[in-house]
Amino acid sequence: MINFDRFELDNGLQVIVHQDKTTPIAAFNLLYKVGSRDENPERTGFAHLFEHLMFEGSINVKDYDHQIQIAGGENNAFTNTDFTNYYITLPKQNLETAFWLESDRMLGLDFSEKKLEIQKNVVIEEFNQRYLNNPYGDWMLMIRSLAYHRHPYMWPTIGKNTFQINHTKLSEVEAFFYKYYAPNNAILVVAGDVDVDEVKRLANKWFGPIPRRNIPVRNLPAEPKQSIPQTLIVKRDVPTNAIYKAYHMDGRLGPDYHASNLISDILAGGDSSRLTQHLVKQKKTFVSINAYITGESDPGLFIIEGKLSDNISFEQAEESIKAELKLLCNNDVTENELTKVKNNIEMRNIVGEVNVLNKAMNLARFTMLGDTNLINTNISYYQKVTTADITNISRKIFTPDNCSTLIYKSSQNG
Amino acid sequence: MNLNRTKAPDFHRIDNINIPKTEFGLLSNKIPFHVLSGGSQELSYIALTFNAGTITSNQLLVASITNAMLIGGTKKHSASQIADTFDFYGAEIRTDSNFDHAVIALFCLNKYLEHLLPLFCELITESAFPDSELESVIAEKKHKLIVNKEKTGFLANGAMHKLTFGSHPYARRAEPADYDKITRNTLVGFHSSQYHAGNCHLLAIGCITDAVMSLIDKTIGNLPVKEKTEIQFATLAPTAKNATEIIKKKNAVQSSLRMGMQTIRMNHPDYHKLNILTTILGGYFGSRLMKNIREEKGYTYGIYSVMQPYLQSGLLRIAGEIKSGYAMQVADEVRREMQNLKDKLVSDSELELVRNYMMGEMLQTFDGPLSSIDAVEKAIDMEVGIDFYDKEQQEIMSIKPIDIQEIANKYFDLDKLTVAIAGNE
Repeated sequence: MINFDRFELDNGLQVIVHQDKTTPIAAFNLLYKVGSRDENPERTGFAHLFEHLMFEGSINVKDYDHQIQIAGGENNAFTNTDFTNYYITLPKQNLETAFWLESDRMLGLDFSEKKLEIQKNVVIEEFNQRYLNNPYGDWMLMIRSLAYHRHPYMWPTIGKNTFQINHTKLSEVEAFFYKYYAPNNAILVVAGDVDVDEVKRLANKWFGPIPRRNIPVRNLPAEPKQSIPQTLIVKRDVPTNAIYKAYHMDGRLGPDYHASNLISDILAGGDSSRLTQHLVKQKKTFVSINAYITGESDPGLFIIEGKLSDNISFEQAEESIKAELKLLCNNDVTENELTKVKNNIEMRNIVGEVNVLNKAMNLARFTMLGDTNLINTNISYYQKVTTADITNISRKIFTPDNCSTLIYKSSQNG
Repeated sequence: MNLNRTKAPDFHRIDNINIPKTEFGLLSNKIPFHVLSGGSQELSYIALTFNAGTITSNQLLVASITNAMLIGGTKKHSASQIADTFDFYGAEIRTDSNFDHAVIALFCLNKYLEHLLPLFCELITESAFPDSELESVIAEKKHKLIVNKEKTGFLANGAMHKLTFGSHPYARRAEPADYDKITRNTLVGFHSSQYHAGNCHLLAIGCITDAVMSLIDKTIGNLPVKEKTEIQFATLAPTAKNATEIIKKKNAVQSSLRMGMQTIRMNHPDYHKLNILTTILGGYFGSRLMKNIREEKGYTYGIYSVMQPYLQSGLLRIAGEIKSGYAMQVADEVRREMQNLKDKLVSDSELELVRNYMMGEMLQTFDGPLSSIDAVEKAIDMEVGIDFYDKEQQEIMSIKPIDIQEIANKYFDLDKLTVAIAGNE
């Protein structure tokens, strides 16, 4: 059971406090409700580029990282399709340093052309490192644009290409800041051996004076139901053939979400999972295979990806995956198997409660979803899933019309 | 209220971290054990580390495949039954091998130890190496290697190791064809000589109660003992002067830069000072390399330097993925930054920054037993013991700019710095 208190400042900043007296570390997690789904389709990769600029100095503090390090802390941030998350861990005695720095960044940034130029280069190198200079690294870019035609999940957080990043103007950066970086668009979680009243005092002192800003109401186009199978075939200089299949599924708060997650574990969670045992170990159709869900707030994707064994055709590979999915649709999952994947979720849940930063991040994310207490109740949704649910939801998800397939051909392999 | 946002709030320096003590003893069969107990969750991490790393076999890949095949089936249970059992209890079984050691570890809720420890032991005593499983493991690993050989980082790293360690086994790298030379018999022979109670040590971290220890002794304490295999230390020849290799990869959109230098082992009295120096150079976000190459020039998303310890040596490693066409220039910048540390004293303010950063990091490392697993494992496996971290913190607190300059002059021998670049340079 994770205890927490909550309060809201007059300017709309939501604050969650979790007490954990066992740790000398305080975690400070600030989530802004803006992700790559909020981007202009002509300026994709923008939310993430902006995250980089957040470290280049604010109105009153020119050297953010230096100030964290000198106080014995560590910090980082990440951006995904749904939100941008900044986090700091530091000795609990130095908690106020985090309030000082994060509130100043929310107040205003010290923008400059030179800083923007350098961070554009850094981000382009990040794009290269992760997606282009990495065998198979570009598959996610392609499968998103194949699976989505209207919803902004059609591009990944890094952006559609480096061209758009390169053409970002300083005025756009400034406009983005005032549009989304505001107390009434943020969730602050403080966790550790901290006192709620002290956190209240610090929050009011540092964040209180920041004015509320006008946040646009999010109104994203819903992705229409896919009605025909989508396939894209590409040829790349990689050693072996690979296949990627993406099926539309529920968003994080949808009724089928938890069962879908369990299905992905039944298929590929651990060495005993079905795809690993049947298709890698026994039939040797694939040298490696995986299945997982993107787990996004809006309806996301259920992904199956595999690297084909040398003598296997794409037709054979696809048939073998479809046969496994058909088993799920035909009531093949036993009680024992379902208990196994539930036990695994339970274990991950327990392990996830050890680290104070991890707890802070989860509290922020669940608060964003609208129910902080999901941190305690989330596990019960998994426990409720029955084998009948697994069958029914498999039937719903795994239809040919709901699937986008990327055939990733090796040019080295004939 | 008049709030002065330009002034940093007062902060406290961390000048003393309570490093936990490990308890040491011998199981019934004389396996040495190290225990670190604590934490609020009923979780245990139990690892057996064998002297069965890649340097203990003359044939490449024998050590790593033997280790991976521990979960590949026993005389009583198939690989899939083994996986099913551990997965059913939400337990994690980890196998891993490196140059010096091979590890098999169990991470699970204490309430399941009674079910799982006997099977854990069976994996070690009754490995069966079934052909079909061996075939899958080899196919998967070989494929991974083939994919890795497409990655500039992997290529540059291998080349740097070769340049740095020359004829020493630490320089060896397997090729895909080496997988075809593996026979079941070689693995069985290697397993029989290396995986026994006389050739390992045990590390238990987490909620290790007396009941857990007694369970461990009833199971792991019963593993059969054979004679310990002594490891011969191979000769380390000095590195050739200014050894450099450029691996051309035409379509690469980035270049991987790896630089290396033989240094000292973790038990050397200078190790802590050299580690602090390496941190100043490239061990944190505000380091000299990150400031210069990322924040001033924008040539990389990240570049770092780190001390990588081995049992027979140590490696100072510098790594970064660099904008195409600039890797050589960045290598020169790295040399310049190292020379700078030899020529000039670091300022008190920079030293204070690094000191606070390193102490903060250590505080986080020892925030509960589970977060300290990696650090404790490293100290035990490298045979320095957990006291290493007490000495580390003393050194961090007491080191002076002049000590750092001395260490830079003693160890930053730039002629011996090897450079490997893979990319379209």
